[in-house]
Amino acid sequence: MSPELLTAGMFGLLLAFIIAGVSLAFALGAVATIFILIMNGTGGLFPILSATFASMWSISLAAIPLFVMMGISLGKSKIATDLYRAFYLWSGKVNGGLLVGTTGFASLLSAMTGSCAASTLTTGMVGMPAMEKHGYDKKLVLGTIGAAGTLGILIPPSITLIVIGMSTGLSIGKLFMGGLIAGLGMLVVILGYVIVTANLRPEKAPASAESVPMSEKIRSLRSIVLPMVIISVVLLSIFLGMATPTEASAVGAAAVLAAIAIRGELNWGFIKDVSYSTATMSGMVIWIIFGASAFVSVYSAANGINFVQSFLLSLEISPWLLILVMQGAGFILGMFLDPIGIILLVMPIFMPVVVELGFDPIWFAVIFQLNLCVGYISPPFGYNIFYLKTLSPQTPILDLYKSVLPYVVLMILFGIFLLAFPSILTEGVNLLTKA
Amino acid sequence: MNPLRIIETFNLIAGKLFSFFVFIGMAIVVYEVIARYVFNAPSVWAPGYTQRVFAVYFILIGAYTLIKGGHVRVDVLLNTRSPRWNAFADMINYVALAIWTTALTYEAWFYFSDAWEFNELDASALRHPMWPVNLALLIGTALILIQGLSGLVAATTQFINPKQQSKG
Repeated sequence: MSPELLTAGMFGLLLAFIIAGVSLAFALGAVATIFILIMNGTGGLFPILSATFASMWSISLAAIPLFVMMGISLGKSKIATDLYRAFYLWSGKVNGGLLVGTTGFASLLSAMTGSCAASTLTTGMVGMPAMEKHGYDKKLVLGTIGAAGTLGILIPPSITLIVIGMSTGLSIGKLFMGGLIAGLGMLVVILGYVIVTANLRPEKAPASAESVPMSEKIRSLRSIVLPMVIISVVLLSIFLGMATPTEASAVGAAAVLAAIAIRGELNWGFIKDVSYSTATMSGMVIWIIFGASAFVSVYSAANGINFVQSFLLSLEISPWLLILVMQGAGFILGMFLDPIGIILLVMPIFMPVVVELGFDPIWFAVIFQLNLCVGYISPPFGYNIFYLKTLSPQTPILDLYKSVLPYVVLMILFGIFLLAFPSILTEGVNLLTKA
Repeated sequence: MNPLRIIETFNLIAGKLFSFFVFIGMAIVVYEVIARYVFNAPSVWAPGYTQRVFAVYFILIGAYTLIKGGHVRVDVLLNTRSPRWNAFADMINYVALAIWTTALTYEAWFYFSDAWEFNELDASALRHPMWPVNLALLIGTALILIQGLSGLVAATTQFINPKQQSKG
């Protein structure tokens, strides 16, 4: 089969399946199976199985369910509510204060759970009632929660960054460091927007009048200490190369379970709940990986990847324009597809081109990841908009679009800023990994 | 009892049991971390069994995730008011699943029987038999295939006669 026909056929059928509502994992696996049958017949099916086997046998993938479990346990325990209370108590008395606290909470929760859906939904459920009570503007609140919630796939420990590391061979520690820099930078931008809006239009996010005694504020901090210590130890051990992500995730998950046990919340019901939720969430991610590995293995064996790479490199455009095109592809795909699927499909094609053009792969991968975050909240199909809709079913979808739009613009501008000043990421990553 | 219900109940119970493998995997990795970094005595078996436990976990939770609706779908055209159209979309979904997992199950059978017959060992220093992992691969792919076929039957019934309330 000619590479042109192969590319059009495989991606065309994939798109048709996805639009028809087929699960991404099954669509990828079925397209791979159909095309290998066309090319090799029933005797040539083995690569479909060996792709699955190679993925399940990869020890670095074990970090995924362990980080998922760590996040789910934190989210389901009362640690999350206590954490929100601490942010709430410390940030109530200025314009927009509650929203600043909620944004901080959302990004910390994202970092812990590594999941946009979990952090957006939990933040909304924990934080929205208080802000509604204080008369905060609903659109501002929803947009901010949605934007802060997407940072979960950027701020480490991030499952998507692990998948990038796995599929490209880049250092997961360096990717985490880059994700941390970009994620915290984006957080500052979001907070800046909230503070400016709240001070220009105080009626949208009025300061709270209640005053809380200092002793209570100090006491609330106790709940932050333990999760912060666990996360810092997990991340530092990965940054400093002391532990692999799998080791760090197992110790982190065990530490979180121990912390929950010390608080007296660890009973059989909780364990079952965590176990079942971890299975469905990991099952989704891992089976997308199975499907995508089969797809990529069939596409690559039939010379598809070489074809696209030489096509991209033969374009008579400047390298920077090519980088922009590839980043733009990430943003557009991010509106429709799950981030894990995009990374597995696109990274094996793009990464050699980036290296060939002489750009820094970590820099490219981290900004690509940021673009996936933007796609995640971009109208009309961004996943997080639908999570916001479940949080606030009575808000019309158009209002949700308007509420996230300022953040989409800010995130794109921030991405361009990181692209234009590569040293922020390249130097920043080296700073810590060399230490 | 309706055979579709039996399949689903069986897969639910099995999936819930398999979900606890994550704790076993966690315990092995934590044990290895302590052995290696605290007692400076890394074991030969821990890395191999971390791989084994998680490999088995990954493949066996597929059917459970399917029942729980965890395999994400783009719902641009789903959740329409027409039950017949929704049933049709479900049918395509299950057909895609069946195409892929039939190929997987078919190949997994030969993969397992080869490993069993020649007592294949893993490539690491451990040199333990591989057939239990290949057996889990066969069972995991077969379970999600059976669950998918049962879903296909339910969706087809729904498509032919949308008024009938299907529990699947």
